[in-house]
Amino acid sequence: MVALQLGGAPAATLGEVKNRADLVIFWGSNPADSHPRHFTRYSGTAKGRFTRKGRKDRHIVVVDVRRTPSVKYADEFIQVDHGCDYEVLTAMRMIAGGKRPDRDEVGGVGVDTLANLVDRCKKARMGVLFFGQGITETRGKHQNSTAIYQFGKDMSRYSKFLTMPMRGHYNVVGSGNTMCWQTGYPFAVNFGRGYPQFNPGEFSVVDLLSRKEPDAALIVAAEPMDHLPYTAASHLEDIPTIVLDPRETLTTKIARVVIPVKHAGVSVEGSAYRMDHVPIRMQAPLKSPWPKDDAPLDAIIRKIKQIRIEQAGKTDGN
Amino acid sequence: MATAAKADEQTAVFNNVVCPFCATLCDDLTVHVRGNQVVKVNGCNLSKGVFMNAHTEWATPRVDGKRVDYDDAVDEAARILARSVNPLIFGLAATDVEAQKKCIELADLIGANLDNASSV
Amino acid sequence: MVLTGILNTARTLKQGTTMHISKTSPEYLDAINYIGICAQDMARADISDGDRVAVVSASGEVTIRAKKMDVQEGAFFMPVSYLANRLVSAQTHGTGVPGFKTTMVEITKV
Repeated sequence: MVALQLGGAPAATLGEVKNRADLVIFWGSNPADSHPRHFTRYSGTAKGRFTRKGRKDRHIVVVDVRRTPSVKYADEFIQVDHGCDYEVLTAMRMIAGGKRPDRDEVGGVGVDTLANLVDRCKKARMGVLFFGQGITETRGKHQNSTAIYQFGKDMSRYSKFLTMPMRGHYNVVGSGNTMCWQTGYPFAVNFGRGYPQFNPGEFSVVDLLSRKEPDAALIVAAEPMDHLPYTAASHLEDIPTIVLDPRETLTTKIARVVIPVKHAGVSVEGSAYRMDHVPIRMQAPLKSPWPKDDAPLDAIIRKIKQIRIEQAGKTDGN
Repeated sequence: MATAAKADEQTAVFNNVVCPFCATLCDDLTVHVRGNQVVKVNGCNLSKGVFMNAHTEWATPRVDGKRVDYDDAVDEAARILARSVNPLIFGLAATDVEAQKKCIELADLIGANLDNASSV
Repeated sequence: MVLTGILNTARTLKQGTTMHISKTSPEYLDAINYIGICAQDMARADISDGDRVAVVSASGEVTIRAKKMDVQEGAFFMPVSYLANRLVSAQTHGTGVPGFKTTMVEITKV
């Protein structure tokens, strides 16, 4: 996300990938485990207008630190040493610019292997580099994503080349888009001064919790007690925590207040954004007796306004 | 729109259902529902995990571990957030755009920190 | 002998599938209750597949099952979960992203 702000990137829908891509690279991304049907619907075996033979029309490369379950679906596996993705990407940019690194190996990968990959990217009709948390969470973090976007930009001189993050949660793109549209910033926003301020590292959840700054928390459709480092998440046990969730979780167990809600896409219709920013309307095959989460949020907003009016009234009375 | 059709007396079939798990957001699932319970879905294992278990482990309105009326839980939440000096609102990635908008409105009202799952 | 290296936490299909049964289900625990170590490291520390090992980081400690996996030497794998997150560093170095794939751990057979 930060990398995108630093560099920008060309965009296309997954439909374009299905119809056109003849080179697909998964870097630090393991769709076989995390996005099981991505491969069959869009990026692997999918048959499209200019990819009529499906899998046979695509060269697929997995770049990762370990032999993930996705490797067996690829034509080529390139193993990078832990935390060396930035070095490898930089070497690829160097090779793309016509210079050769002064060694045989970068980050555990042979320079010849990298030169071949760069050559494939240059010659692709349409190349796509999907990257995952193997890029964004390893050493270098968002700078790795920046290097990916810059490599994509370099390749755009030679071929159609796309770089796209493999986003996790089904509507994490929507949360970023909605926050951008409403506040100007995609995440890590603070309204303490009455206007939105953006600062990852300061207003991002793990930093706030590990510094034990919040004195109350509202968790909406998330599971910090399972998915965040415990030294950060444990602060939620020490402050009044409110959880809105359709189902019991490890976070509802430690919450002061639990408010059950309908399950978006399961028991209530709603809109969500796919990883390529295409909004999709979700159906509701099941029924739930609880309201949709907007309703309690709206009730909380009204109640807080009422409490403030009452408090203001008391002050005036004095 | 829901495209429910009767497969037999008890089973309703929904076509082109969207899977709310990962951001591939597959929109081609067929979901068979019997007695408000998914009995069959043709998605991947992750999507089976979501739909086949969706009728279990429902949350209940609670304050301090005790079951309360829905409105009481909401009122207690409002009191906590109205008192808070530096509240945190976190999540948003696993609900719909309409709920996300409400979270932003609330964050603006109470001067909260607001973060989603972009960095985690 | 103590094994030292980087902990790599990531999603697995089994973790993602069983977490919806219930976070407290035996199925979920079975999906998350291991650390993947390569054969060379296992031999060096006299650890066999299935042994209980204590994994320690600056943030915490868990005792889990060792599993032989195709990972690099000095790099260990755990599925994303509350167990792995006992070890993961909350330090984000100003990025917002904690040490999901950068935390140093020590492994000892118990």
